[in-house]
Amino acid sequence: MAERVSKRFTRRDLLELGAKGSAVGALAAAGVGLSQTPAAAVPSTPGRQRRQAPMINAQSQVKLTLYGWYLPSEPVFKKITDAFTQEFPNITVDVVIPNQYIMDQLKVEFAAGRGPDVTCMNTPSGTPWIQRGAFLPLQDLVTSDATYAENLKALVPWTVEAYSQNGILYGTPITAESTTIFYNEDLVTQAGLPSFAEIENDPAQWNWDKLREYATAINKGTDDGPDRIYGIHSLGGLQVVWLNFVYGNGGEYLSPDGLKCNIAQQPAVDALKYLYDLRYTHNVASPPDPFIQGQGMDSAALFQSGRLGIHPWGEWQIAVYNGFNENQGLPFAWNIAQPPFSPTGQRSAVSHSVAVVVNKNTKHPAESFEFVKFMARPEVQGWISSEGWGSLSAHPGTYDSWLNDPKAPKNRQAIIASQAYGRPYPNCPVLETAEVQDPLNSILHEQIWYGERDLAEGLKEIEDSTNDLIEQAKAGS
Amino acid sequence: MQGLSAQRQAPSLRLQGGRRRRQLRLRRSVAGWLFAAPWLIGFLGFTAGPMLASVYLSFTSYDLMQAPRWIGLANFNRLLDDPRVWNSIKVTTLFSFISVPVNLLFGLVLALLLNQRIRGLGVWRTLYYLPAIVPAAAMGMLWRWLLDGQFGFVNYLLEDGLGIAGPNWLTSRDWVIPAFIIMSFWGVGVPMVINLAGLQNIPVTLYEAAQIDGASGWRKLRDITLPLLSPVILFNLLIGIIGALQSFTIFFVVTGGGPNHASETLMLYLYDNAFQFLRMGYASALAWVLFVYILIVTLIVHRFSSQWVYYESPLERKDA
Repeated sequence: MAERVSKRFTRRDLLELGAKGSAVGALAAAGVGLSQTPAAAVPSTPGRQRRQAPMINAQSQVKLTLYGWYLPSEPVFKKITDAFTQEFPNITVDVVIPNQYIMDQLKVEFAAGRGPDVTCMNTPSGTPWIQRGAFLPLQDLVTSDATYAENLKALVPWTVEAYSQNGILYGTPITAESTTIFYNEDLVTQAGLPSFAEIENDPAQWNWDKLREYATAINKGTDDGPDRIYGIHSLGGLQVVWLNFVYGNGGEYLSPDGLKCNIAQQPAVDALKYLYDLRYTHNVASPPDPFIQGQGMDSAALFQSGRLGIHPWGEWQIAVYNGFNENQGLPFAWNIAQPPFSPTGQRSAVSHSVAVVVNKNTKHPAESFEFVKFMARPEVQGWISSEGWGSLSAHPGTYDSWLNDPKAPKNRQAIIASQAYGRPYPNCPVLETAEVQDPLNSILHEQIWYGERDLAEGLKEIEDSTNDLIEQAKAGS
Repeated sequence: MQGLSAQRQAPSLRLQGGRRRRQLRLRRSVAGWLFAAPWLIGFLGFTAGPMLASVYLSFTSYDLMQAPRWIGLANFNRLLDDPRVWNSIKVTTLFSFISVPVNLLFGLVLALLLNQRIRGLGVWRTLYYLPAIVPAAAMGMLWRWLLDGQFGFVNYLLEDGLGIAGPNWLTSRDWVIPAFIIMSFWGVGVPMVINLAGLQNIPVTLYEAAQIDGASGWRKLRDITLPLLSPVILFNLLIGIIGALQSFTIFFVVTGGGPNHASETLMLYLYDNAFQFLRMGYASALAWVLFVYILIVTLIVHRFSSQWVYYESPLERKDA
C-alpha cells in the first residue's frame, strides 16, 4: 500500500507542490508590500497635501489603540484617554504599553500594514520614519483648527520643530526633555565646595576649568581600591553627556539639517578632548558606560551608590531616583545644576521630545486626529507634567506643580532654564539613527572612550565614514 | 443455482473489491497527508515561502514602511564593496575555524573520560552537560561579568593567581575573539554527549580481541575507537560548523559586535541591516551570501570526509 501511495504522490509531486506553495507565498509577500502606497497616502510636499481633514462620524462607535511610553506612563495615559472619551463618547482609546522594544515592535507592525492608530514616538526613530511616510501629516489640522494651532504655539518651539519636516507637522509633542548636571551634595560639601546650584549662573565659578577642579576635589582613591569615589562621569553617551559639551563649545555632531557630520571640527574635538582628559590625564572620571546601554554597572548605578560626585544625565532620572527605596529616594543629599559654561562663554543642553503621531495604516484617521489635537491642550500637557513619568510636558505653562514638588532636587528650575538654550537631539532624515550613529558608536564609544584609539584621528574617521554613509543614502543606495 | 449466481456475482464483487481498495488507498493517503500537514504547512509558510520571498527582496530596496523597489543586482554589487561584509566574514570564519575544532577535541576527550567505569558517572556526565542547556542570553550576561576588564573574575584570578595583568577582553579588538572562543567551551557538552553515544555503540568484542592481541590503550584508541567514531565526529563537525557560522545570540548579548566591529559576525551585520538600518533588501542579499558560504564549507568538509571517515558497511560508504 505504501508503494502505491508513493506512486500516486511522488517526490516530484511533493516538490512541485512545495514550489507552487512557496511561489504563492512569495507572490503574496511581494503583493502585500506592493499594495502599500505610502507615497499616495502621505503627501511629502505641501502641494500634494489633502485639503480637508476627514470628519468624525458621531453615529458609530470607534475604538482607537494608543501605544504609550513605557510602563510608568500608563496611569497618566489612562487619565487622558478617559477624559477624551468623556468629551467624545463614541471614541474609546485602548492604552497599550509595549515592552522596552516598542520601536522594534512598531517596525514589524508597520511592515505588516498594521500597528496602533496613535503611538508615542521619539525623534531618533521619528525623524527618519517621517521621511519614510510612516505617519499621517497633521498640517491640515493646524490650518483648519485655530484652537489646535494656538495650543501648538504655546509649546516649547523646538519640540514642534522636531516633528516637522518641510514645513509639515507630523506629531503633537508631549514632552520637552533636557539634560542636566546631577551632583551628590554630601560629597560636594565634604570637599568644601560651594553648592553648584548657587553658582550655576556665574561663568567665573561655573565653567569647564572649575568643573575639573571640583571633580578633582571630590575624587578619592584609586581605580582598584575599595573606597574609590569618582569625581565625575565624562565618558558617556551622546545625549546625556558629550554632545552637551560639544554644543556648549560651539561645535556639533550633525549639521542642523542632519545631512553633514562635523564632529572632527575643532570646537567638537576640543570638547571631547576635555572630557577624555578628565579620565586619562587627570584620573578623576569614572570608566565609560558599557557599550551596551542598560547592562552592567553603569554610571547611574555608581551615582546612586554614592560613588560618583558629578553626573551629567537626563532629567527623567529625577523620577527614577525619587522612586528608590520605596519612594524614599537616594540615601544622601543630591541636587541638579545647569551645565557649566564652556571656554566660549556659552553652554547648551541636548533636548528631546516625545510626541504622539498617527499611524498611516489607521482605519480611523478622523478620530486619531481628534486625539492628537486633544493631546496639545494645556490641561492634558499639565497632567503629563504633574502625573506623568517624570519628564516635563512640552507646555511651559504647566510646570508649577512639578516645580513645587517637595522631593529632591531643590533646584528644579535648572531644567526649565536650560530649555532656553536647548538644542534638539541630532537626527539624519535619510538614515536610521542606528546607521548614522554606527561610526560614532564603534569608534568613539567602543574605542576612544576605552583609551584604545587616538581621539583626533578617530573623530576624523567618524566624520568621514558618517558623511560617506549620508552621501550614499542621498544617492539612493 | 448457487454456483451460477456466484459466478454472476463474481465480476461485481471484484468491482466492489477494487473500489474498496481504492477507497482504502485514498483514505490512507489522505491520512498520510494529514499527518504530514503540520510539517508541510510549517515548511511552506515559515521556511520555503520566506526563502523565496527573500530571493525576491534581495533584488529590491525595502525599508518595511514603503513598498519594495526593484533595484536589480545593486545589493549584491554593494556588498562586494562593503568593508563590513568582508570584516564580518573574517570574524565569523576566524571564530568558527578555531572554536569548532577545539570544541570537537574537548568534546572527544571528555566523552572518552566519561566513558570509563568511575564512581558517580551520571553526576559527572550531568555536570559537564549542564552548561550546554543554559540559555545563550543568560550565559552572555554571565560572561560579561566574568570577562570584565576591570572588575571581572577571570582577570582577578589571572592577577592574584599568576601575577598576570589580564587584558580588556571585551573592549580590545585583539582579545575579543579569543574571549568568544573561551566562551564557546561552555557548549562542549553537546558534542560530548553525541560522542558518548557513539562510543557506546562500538562493539566491546573489538576491544576484547585487541586486548588478546596485546594492543596498548593508545593503539585501541587509534585503530578502533577513532575509526569507528569517525562518522559521529563528522556529524559533530558539520553541525558545529553550521552553528558557528550562524553565531548570533552570544555575540549580540555580550558585545553587540564591538569594539569597532571586531566581533561582528555576518549574522549580526545581517540583523543590523534588517532591523536597525531597515535595509531589508540588503539583509536578504547578505542572508543568501551566508547560505552559499555555509553550503560551500559543508560541501568541502563532506568531500574530504571520505579520506578520514570510516563506515563499516560498504553500502553506507558509497552512499556517503
